[in-house]
Amino acid sequence: MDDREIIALYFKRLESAITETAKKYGNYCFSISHNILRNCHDAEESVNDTYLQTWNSIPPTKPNCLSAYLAKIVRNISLNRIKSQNTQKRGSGEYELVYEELEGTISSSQSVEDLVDEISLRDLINRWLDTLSPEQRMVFVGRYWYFDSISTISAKMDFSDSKTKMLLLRLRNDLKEYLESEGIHL
Amino acid sequence: MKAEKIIFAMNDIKDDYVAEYAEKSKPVKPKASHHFRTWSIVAACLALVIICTPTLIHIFNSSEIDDPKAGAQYEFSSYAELYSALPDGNIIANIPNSKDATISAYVICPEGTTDFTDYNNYSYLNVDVSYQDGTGVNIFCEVSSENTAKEEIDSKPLKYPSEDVSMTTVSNCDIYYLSYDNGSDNVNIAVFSVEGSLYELSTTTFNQQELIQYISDMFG
Repeated sequence: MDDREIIALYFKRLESAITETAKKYGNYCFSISHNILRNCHDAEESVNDTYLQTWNSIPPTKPNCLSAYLAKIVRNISLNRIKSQNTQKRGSGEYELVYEELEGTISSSQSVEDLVDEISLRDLINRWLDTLSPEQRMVFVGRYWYFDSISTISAKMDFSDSKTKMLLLRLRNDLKEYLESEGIHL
Repeated sequence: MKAEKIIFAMNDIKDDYVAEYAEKSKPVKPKASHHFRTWSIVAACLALVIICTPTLIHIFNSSEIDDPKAGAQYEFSSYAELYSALPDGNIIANIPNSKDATISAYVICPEGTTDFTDYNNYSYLNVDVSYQDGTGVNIFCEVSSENTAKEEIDSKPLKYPSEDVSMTTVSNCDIYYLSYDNGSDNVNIAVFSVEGSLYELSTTTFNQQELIQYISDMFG
């Protein structure tokens, strides 16, 4: 079933919308959540929460790209889940590694919250992504949006692991420079 | 905390970038059967050309524009086109400040429908209204609904938890309304029935009072 038909089911308020969504995008959503949470049970719960949130938001929302719409919801839910879980202790797996990579990139005594609000940061990141080549962008998104491992990204892009690591290092430095050029001195 | 801020801010990158990576498939490594594969592709292309030639000739010779497919969604090109298709007295014809709004609408019709200008053929009508000041409302109408607004509310406890639903009356019409947090926004919803059609208005930019006033304006 194509995405338009699935969205039409949501608009008709037919519960088969969720079944069809799960059939087409269940594994995709699960893999995103599992990359973050590293726990099958938690990932499954996050995917179910994603279906509920999608059911409640369509209509009125009519997503242009259903896969990205679902992916953003499941990512957000999974991140919030790990955030609440890790009040005492930070997570494990790729999330932990990604966290450290980005924390290292943005080293400053001043907190980001003081410098820029979330909307501005989002817009800046989008504008910076616009400047990248598709290859660079996919590597960055694979690592910092999907939390894919270096080896997964390398296999997907047909790169060696060292090339992927080097590219990510350059991209992090480039992002830092870009944010500084936009007046965010980190 | 800085990394966390960036990780969360990245959630709203463009859909295209999220899809771009997801759709990138793993590269296929060259195999020993290289020649066989090449000839298979050439043969498949030739077969495709032979099969598709009559269809392509038909397409290029045809000057007619196909009608919208029966049962498919039909998008109105303008509010004026939608307006002309609405029957007298339909409240969607009374969208407040419509001149200052960008309005897009589409319908879903039963299988076999070819006349999308006949309101009686609609199963569902969806209208998105966006005002210049950033406010907006989505109007979703189920034409000839089997349910009244109350029955609709009662039949969807997942979407309309009974303890959250309030009711008011506008122009002798019972309006059921509630708010919920969808994770990123506070959504206000109002559901009501008029002459057999079920309407659901939802907005993230108007509060409950403003939404009820909006509905009141639609009733004139």
